[in-house]
Amino acid sequence: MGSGLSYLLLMCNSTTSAPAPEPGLGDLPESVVGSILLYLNPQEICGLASLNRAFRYASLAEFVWESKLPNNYDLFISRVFDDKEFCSTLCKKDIYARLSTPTSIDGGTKKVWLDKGTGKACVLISSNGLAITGIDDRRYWSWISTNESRFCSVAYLQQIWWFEVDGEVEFPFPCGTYTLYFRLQLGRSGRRFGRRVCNSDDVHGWDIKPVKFQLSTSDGQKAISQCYLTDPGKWNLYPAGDFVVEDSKVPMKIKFSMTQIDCTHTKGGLCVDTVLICPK
Amino acid sequence: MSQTVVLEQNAVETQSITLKFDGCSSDANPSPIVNPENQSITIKFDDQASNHHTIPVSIPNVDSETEAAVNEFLRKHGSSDEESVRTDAMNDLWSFIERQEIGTVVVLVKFASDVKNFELLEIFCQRVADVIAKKTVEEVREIFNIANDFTPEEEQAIRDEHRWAFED
Repeated sequence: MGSGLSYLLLMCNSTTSAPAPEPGLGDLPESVVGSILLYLNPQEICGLASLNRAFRYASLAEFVWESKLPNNYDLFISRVFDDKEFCSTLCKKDIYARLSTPTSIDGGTKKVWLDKGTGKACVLISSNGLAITGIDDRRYWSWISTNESRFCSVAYLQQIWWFEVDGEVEFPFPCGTYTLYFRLQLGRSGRRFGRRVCNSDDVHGWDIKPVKFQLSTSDGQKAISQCYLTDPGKWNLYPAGDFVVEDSKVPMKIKFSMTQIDCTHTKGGLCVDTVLICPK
Repeated sequence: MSQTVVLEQNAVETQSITLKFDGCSSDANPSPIVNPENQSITIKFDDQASNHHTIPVSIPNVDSETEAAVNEFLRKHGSSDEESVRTDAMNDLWSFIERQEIGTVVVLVKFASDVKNFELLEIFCQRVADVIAKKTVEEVREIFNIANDFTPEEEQAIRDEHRWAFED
């Protein structure tokens, strides 16, 4: 029975002073609702903002969104935005909303954003922002425009002996564990008569030896792994390794590479889109 | 339960201090820690009253079993500074609360907020949050019998405002 109805019945039935009706969720003041919102994630808070007015006002509370922003969000802002761009008088909820929207940095070679659920950073590095051996040699590599990439173009390998893709990034990651992935596709996709098609004619050499992934951080963490590239015609995220950020006050520098440099065989038919770093 | 008080600068002139809080008084335990850098004195003293005789609280609108469980938590939690004892007390109360009707837990949230007991508030708020977390607004309204005090236009405007939270 709702508290409103029970209060009405008490008023009708009692002749002496009635005890206060049992408070229901809809009767809680916004300050108390805010205490509950602390235990929900940002999407849940936003979803419940239209529940009633108390939830609406509680969902705007500074202390609620302060708890969702990473500890080092001021470093995030100064790394990503020019001072003039970012309005520091925004409320914490609007700061969270802004930071969780992808923003281009480093001359458009990277996009960064806060993961909405966890408040940890995500960094997406375009193939334009990677050091690809032989990228300027059109015998080996070319650029393909495609809407299958968030950067609108990918690097396509026809064939090569020495395959090496390197990169690095320095960023104030909030504390946590992160995984670095390479987004790759065997085969070259396009559209014909409105349908997606994938040309795998150039795909070769990836089943002979595995590719090697390496990752290292400025605080001495290292990860090495290898795997065979498979599954032509589909974009896959190949994990290169994990790293842990314990001190969010110091930007973490990560160096990473993907190699297949066994020169007894050529390899080719590979699209290299991006490197993605996101919370594990 | 022990309390910590920090006195700064020239606040302390005599060697004995009588401090009152929560209606009880106790003489200061003579083990002050002096910090010459900021001229502060930190005194830890034991609240004798609550160490061994936690006064049971009365909670309106809940049954006696629930009231007893909360008081048992307060007694246990307040009886020791040891992390393991306090964690056990929290786990016991949590197990009890998980079995209770959610309307009761909402009453307890209000109570914990009124008496400003943050350990209780944490447990009760977490439980309510767990129940409403994965539910739609309509489902929460139905479970808790909450009236929608928005017009359809207001509700749509709020949903539009939060579209960013659900975009990829």
